[in-house]
Amino acid sequence: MSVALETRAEIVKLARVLGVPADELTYLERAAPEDLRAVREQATDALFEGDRHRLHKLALVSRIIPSVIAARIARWALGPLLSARVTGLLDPSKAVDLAKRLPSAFLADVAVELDPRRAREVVERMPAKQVAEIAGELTLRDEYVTMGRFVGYLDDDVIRAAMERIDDPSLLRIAFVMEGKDRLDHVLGLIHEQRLATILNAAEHEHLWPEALDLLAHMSAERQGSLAEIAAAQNLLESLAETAYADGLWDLVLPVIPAMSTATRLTLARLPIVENPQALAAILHTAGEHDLWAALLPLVEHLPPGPRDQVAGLGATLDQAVLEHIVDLVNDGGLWSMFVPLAADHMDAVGRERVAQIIAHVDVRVINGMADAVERDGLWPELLRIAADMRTDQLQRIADRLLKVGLEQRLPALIAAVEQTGLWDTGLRMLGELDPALQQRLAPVASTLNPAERSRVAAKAMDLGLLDALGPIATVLAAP
Amino acid sequence: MTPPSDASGLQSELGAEPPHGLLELLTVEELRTLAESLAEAKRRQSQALDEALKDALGHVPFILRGTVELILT
Repeated sequence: MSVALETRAEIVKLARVLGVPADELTYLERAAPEDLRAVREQATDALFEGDRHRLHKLALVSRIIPSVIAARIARWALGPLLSARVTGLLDPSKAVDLAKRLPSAFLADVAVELDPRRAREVVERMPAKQVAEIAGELTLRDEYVTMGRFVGYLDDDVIRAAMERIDDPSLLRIAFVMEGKDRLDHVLGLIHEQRLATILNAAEHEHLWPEALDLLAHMSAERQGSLAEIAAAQNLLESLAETAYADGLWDLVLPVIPAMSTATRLTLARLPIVENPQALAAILHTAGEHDLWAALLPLVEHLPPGPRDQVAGLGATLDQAVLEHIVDLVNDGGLWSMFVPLAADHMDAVGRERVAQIIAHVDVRVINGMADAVERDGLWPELLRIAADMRTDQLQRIADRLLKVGLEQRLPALIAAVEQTGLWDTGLRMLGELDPALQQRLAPVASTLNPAERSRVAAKAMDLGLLDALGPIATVLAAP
Repeated sequence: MTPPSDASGLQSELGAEPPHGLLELLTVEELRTLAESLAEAKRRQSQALDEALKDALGHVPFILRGTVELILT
């Protein structure tokens, strides 16, 4: 829930405590929700403490009169507000017995005024059936804020029974304003998959995606994944994504992507809205603003060519520090097979040069991770295209690092890729531009090639007029 | 921290130091309005309690009324 909405919910609660319309407290709209919550609890305590002595007397009276009479006094003499105040002072079993004799409508009135902190034991002991009836009554009155205050105090069985009496849109609204949202994941675990599907459909039909997305944000990764699968199975991803775009809620959607199955990511990546350049720009902006690149990157490999170009184009304009961070995430997430072709095939020369510049400066761990992935997934041609935009000093750094992580073991695959893709010119030119000292270090690596390979490379270098530039490497290549 | 003097009314009504965030944010007038709202809520509750205690006796069976009256007074 956004801070503004959280503040609004707190104002409604404080207005209840003060007995004034919420509109009279608009001057509190700038306040932080936690401050409003604190002042509400202080105000509730002050109201209780102010009449503590007389409220205690009422509680004492309840001990000597039968419950049926106590219930009559509560309903006709005290009314909901004072009944709520005195509830926490009653013996819990007496309070529960008394509540059995009161109609749900009255108990719903009491619930609106009740501070569950002060009546915790009574609330916990209330029978599931009666709580469900009160929940039904509160639902009819749209008392979501009230119900949201009690969720944290109820047992699973009671919550299950109550949810049976609350319709799908109301469940979303309650979850949106409920206190102690860390319990939401557990509560959602009490709901059967079929009901979750109808709840997500309600999000679409009742325009409650913001509420549903807020709910999603409070779920464990596992449950986020399950909900995303349900949304996909119900064909709701498009409506969800359109709302996320219209309401600026991508920051709630992106974190769910890593928990999605590949099929669901593919569905999301192929939605028409992703082809909308403004929408895609908003997604990328959100990823940058909230540092959600790690969540977004797994989606990129599923994007169609057009959006991929746009991602690559926008990516190329990112700050150097952000791009470096992304390269780190790519390595940590094992996403080189997405990133290397993206940079090689979808970025322009300026973008490739920036990526080349970063790769030239990353640490050995990242270089090694990239080289492993490139070899495994046959991405040497793409990597060579990126390398073709590198300056000599950058190439030297890369070669220096590759030597440290066992270049000789990778050389046959690199040469095979060069042969296969006809990038001899690029590969040999790069070697030729290295300084003699580095060429000297590379010479023993070249000697690990078998004689046939050496002579093929030498012939190509000669054809391209690059043999001399290879210096000591050429000597090794020419050796029998 | 000692609250600014303009917050003393609210502190007195709350019986506790108001959250610092509110003290920093609200104007003197707004703090006073909030304090008055709480004071008014207390007055209303107290009045309601006066009436409720009187009314309650009417619902108590005659045989228990003396004891209940003794407790309530």
